[in-house]
Amino acid sequence: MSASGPTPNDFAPYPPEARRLALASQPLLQQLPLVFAAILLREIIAYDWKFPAERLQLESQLRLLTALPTTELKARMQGFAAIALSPELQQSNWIANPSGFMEKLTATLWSSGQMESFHSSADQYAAWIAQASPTARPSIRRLGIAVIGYGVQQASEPLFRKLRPHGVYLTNIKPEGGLEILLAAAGKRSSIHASTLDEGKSSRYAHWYIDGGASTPIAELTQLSYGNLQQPRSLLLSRIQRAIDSGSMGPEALRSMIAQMQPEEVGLGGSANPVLSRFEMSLLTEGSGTQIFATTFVQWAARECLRRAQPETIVTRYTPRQEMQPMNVMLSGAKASALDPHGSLVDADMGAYYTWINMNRLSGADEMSFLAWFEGHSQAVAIGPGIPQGTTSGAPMDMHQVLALMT
Amino acid sequence: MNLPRRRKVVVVTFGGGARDEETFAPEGQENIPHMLGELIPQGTFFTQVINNGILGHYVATASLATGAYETWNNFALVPPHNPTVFEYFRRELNRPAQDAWVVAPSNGFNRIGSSDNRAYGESWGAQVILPKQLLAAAMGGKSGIDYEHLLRDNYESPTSIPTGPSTQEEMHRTAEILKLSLDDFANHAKSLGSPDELSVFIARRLMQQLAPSLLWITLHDIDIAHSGAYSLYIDGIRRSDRLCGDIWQAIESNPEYKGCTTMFILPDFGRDSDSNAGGNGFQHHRTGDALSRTTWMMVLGPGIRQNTFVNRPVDSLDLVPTLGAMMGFSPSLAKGRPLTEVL
Repeated sequence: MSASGPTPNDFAPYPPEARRLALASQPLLQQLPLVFAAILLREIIAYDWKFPAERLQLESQLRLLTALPTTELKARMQGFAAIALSPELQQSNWIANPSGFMEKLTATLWSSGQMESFHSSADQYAAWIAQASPTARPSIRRLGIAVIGYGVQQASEPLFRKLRPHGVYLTNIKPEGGLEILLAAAGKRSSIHASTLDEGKSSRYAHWYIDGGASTPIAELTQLSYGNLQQPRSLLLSRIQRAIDSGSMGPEALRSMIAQMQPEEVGLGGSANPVLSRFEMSLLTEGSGTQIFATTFVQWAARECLRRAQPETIVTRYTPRQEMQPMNVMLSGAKASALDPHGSLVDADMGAYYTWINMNRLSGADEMSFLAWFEGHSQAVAIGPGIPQGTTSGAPMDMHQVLALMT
Repeated sequence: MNLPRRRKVVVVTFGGGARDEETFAPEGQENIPHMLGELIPQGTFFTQVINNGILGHYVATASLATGAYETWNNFALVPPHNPTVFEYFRRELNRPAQDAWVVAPSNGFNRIGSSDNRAYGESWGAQVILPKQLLAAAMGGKSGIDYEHLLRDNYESPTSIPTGPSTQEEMHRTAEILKLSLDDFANHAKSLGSPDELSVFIARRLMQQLAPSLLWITLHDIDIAHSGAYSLYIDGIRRSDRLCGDIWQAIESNPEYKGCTTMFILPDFGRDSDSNAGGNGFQHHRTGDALSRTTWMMVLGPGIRQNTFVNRPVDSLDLVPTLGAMMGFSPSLAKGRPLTEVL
């Protein structure tokens, strides 16, 4: 790297699309303070595996920054430029490995007492981007569905306590065929959406189904399932176990090792859909607990899916996680001793609430609808425009009628 | 300065990391029946304790113990740089080594008993006991599924930090001090449900055998939250609540402690709020948001006003100067201020 910032050669190791974008952004990158340039490069280097919504956001951000007059760009970057870095960090290979740089930067920010000012600069910047380049509203109203409690005969604690104030608590749903109806409705939304798009536009990654078990394929939906990822999880856990057994690796070294793993190393290489494989890989390597608990996997996958893909439909279905065992037993990939349906219901209830919160962070939140249903039972919460908040309804209805209430 | 006669202090860190909404906020109160029903009516409760330091369990607990924000990497195996409360206490009051003890959950905490400050250091520090290490020694290297649940380490990371070798002799010496047969200990441990239960068992033993004047117990089961399972996080809070009640009962039923002991209970910090997009709610404590920094503290014992609430914000660094004022030593390098409400 030259003293004035990244040069074209620095991007040679980048994947093709990322390299193209980095080269096009080189004049901008040369004007940015190191910390912010590294933040941006961490996004750019992953461009080839980003979802369409993420790509649009990144491109729009780069356009916005490029168009800024120098003095304004300098002013916007002031907070980042003020962060003091050690010579070692400045000289690290931050262009080739921006994620590694960010890991070290985080430790530096904490230990040097600069985390607060970094957060404040980041918040200011994010607020400016959100205002200057707002995300487009979804083409159809977003719909979120959380199906919780599979395998539980009777809930031991009241359900949906955090969601109920925001919608109507339904207590007399006919549960028969409920899951099939909900999935069919999600698939139909995807088909209708695809049929309304202009030529050249795609609804890919706009409609998702995330399952804690092994889901059956539904062609119209992008699907993820904890059960179907059993092999990658096992391979990842055995790699972690080997690192632990070696006794030579501390927590941070282990985290770095996991972060640098490639999809091929856990059997996710060679997929027909590398974008999805990379996403699955990130869920297992960046998520905490996603490798061992089905409930955590579903919640974290939904959070990341909403943050990154910004879908218009998302269905999550929670199944029981394994019973709590000693961490080293679970990390060994040993077969679950038993399942914990009741604990999983509590996890899923909170997970459903978090999914609703995360949906509220997306554009068009004022029009979105959300349903959380206790699978196989008569209780659900429906939230959406026109649905009275904090109410209860004992009216009998089937799942078609519940959906009609929300759309 | 002499130690005021028989004054003892027990500090319990309610960890690792619990949010108000799962504890003292109205919706969380069902998780803490012992603290709410038994302990609060007997004590003074600080509703806003702010931690302005690094939100990692070891470095934050060390900061609580030094009264100054330590700034090293949470995962580094280093002693605190500022003198600990144990060093101030022992040096100024000329107390023997066995009068200050720390019961800590995992390897990462084994340097917390003393600082690398030249004027103080190990010779004035607390004895640190890691019950899991003791149990491992009692098992004599044998594996046993009966004990695995008691030996699990830091939830934030599956590896423990490499530590220096703790010899069998050291462990046997500790067991002797506690008048504990390692075999009996191993047998009893089978009946315990978690590492924190093991810690409290050891703490009670210390109280019975040595009755230290300054005892610091670090609970850590709650940190299972990092696995993302909300139910297990809540279980951890409920267990910690019960164990705090047990510790108070141990104080009240032990003639060496009854009537002369002040107990402090406080989380090391909170956890991320649900509303911060940078975090994932209860699971971690990474955002540094207000909820992750704001917790509470309960103080109870003789001379402490009962059923009293203090709503002004206080700093978690105020703990050490308060202990100093209470026990009669001057923590000269601590940064906080004594909490007059409990003095």
